[in-house]
Amino acid sequence: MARKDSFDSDRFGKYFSFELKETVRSQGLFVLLSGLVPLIFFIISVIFSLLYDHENLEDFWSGYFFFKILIATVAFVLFFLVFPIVRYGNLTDRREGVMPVLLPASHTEKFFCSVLVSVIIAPVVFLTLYLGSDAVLGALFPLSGKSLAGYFLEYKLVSYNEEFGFSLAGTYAFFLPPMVSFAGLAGGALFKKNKITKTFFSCAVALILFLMIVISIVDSLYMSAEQTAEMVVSNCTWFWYTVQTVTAAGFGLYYWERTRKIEL
Amino acid sequence: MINIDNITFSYGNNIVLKNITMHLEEGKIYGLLGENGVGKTTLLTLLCGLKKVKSGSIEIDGHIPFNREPSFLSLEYFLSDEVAPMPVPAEKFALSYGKFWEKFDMGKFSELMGIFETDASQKMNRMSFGQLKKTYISFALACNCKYLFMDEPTNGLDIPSKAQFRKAVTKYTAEDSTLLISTHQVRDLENIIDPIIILDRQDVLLNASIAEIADKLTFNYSNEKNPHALYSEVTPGGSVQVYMNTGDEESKVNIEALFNTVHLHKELIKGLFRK
Repeated sequence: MARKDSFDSDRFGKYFSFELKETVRSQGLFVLLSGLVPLIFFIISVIFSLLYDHENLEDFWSGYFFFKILIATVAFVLFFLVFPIVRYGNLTDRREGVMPVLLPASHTEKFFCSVLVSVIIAPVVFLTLYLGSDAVLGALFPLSGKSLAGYFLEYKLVSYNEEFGFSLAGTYAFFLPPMVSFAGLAGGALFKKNKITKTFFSCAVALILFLMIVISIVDSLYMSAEQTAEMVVSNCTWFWYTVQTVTAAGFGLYYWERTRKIEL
Repeated sequence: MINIDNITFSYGNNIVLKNITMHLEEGKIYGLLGENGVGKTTLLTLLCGLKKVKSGSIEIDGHIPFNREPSFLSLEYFLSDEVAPMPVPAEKFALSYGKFWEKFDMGKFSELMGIFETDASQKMNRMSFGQLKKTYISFALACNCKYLFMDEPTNGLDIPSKAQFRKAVTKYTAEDSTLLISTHQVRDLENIIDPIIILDRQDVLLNASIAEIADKLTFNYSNEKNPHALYSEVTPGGSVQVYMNTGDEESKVNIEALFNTVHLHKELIKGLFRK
């Protein structure tokens, strides 16, 4: 294959700008609404707070932050998983997949564009909107408690301790969004129907199986509670990094192969 | 030049194409005919690179279609029988997608939309199926591709649109372009397709130009019964009989009668047209 056929920077630029425009056109509203979930949740909470007496309002809002964290966790995981499926899941559809598969650009260019859009650009835009709208609400209505951005910023991603040196403990979830996004890409390319449900449940089942295996392995080592705790503390971060990286790479590799050989 | 060499394709255990060999020349509008399920759509999807052959090979200008190299993809356009209703105006769709085909001509797209009397500023997901099909046909022709594969392009078109389609294809196809059009509705494409390919289950029954067909078969439209007729049919305006052309008779090929004749006398016709 000639070099121009595998990767051409001009064509990549043209395809990337086309992909961005198409994403804004077709999924822009979805990203916007997902990013404004804090506002929607706040409005719902205000409506419910009206049922409370004025004296008990502080009680009502004291539990708001907990639900905010809970909803953010669900919204983040769902967005990272669902967005790639909504954006690129049409590749397996005969009617909608023909154009993107046969568009004159190389597989490498198409692959990198879809990864850039669904693993980096869309999540960053979503997080900016989500954390931004939450921060604005937090500033305007102090009763709603600390903003999520403020909460996350309290965590030091990298810390230094004279005894243990550098620690990356705060970054344990740093690679989680890309892993989930890659799972979404792979699920969108793997399943033909009910892609979101099937991907979600497949991931949930895989995670449960994985945890069961890990727990049974740790259990079989016959260590004391202190030894187990020490092993988890010293190895957990690196183990989790490895799992995240290997899983994301596995999903990415599957998506690469599947889209390269897809038949419609 | 399209070279199809001894290809086989199956869906699971169901073999659709078996040992198919064909060579398609440049600058011609091929009509691909065949009964339901003989593999017309499958053949088109193999040629455009949407499917991979199980055995044998397809080569188009030195490219293997399934490799989907950009240099090959920019040479071809595949118009599927099912088309996606994009939520954008037709002209915006043409502008954003057309830039990937070097020879795409927006002016030509607008002219074709005019011929088809379809509003290019209308959103595609608000169009009727026929309007949507006409938008995609206009786009396909405006791409100015060397190879254009069309699967049942006249499905869903009303009677005036079928005439507009014929006009559009004859007027707007470049001389060096090769079109392969599959259809069940042969009357829609009469006078524009030449040569004609008739596909059977796992076999190519005919791949011949109109001139070759007229040279070897006579299509008689008189009511006088010919005892040697291979096929005869009473039509609303009279009748049509097909028999071997033994005396250099000149006649107009009736594709529907040809199709039925070929299906009634498969081996005879294959032998007659064997090169």
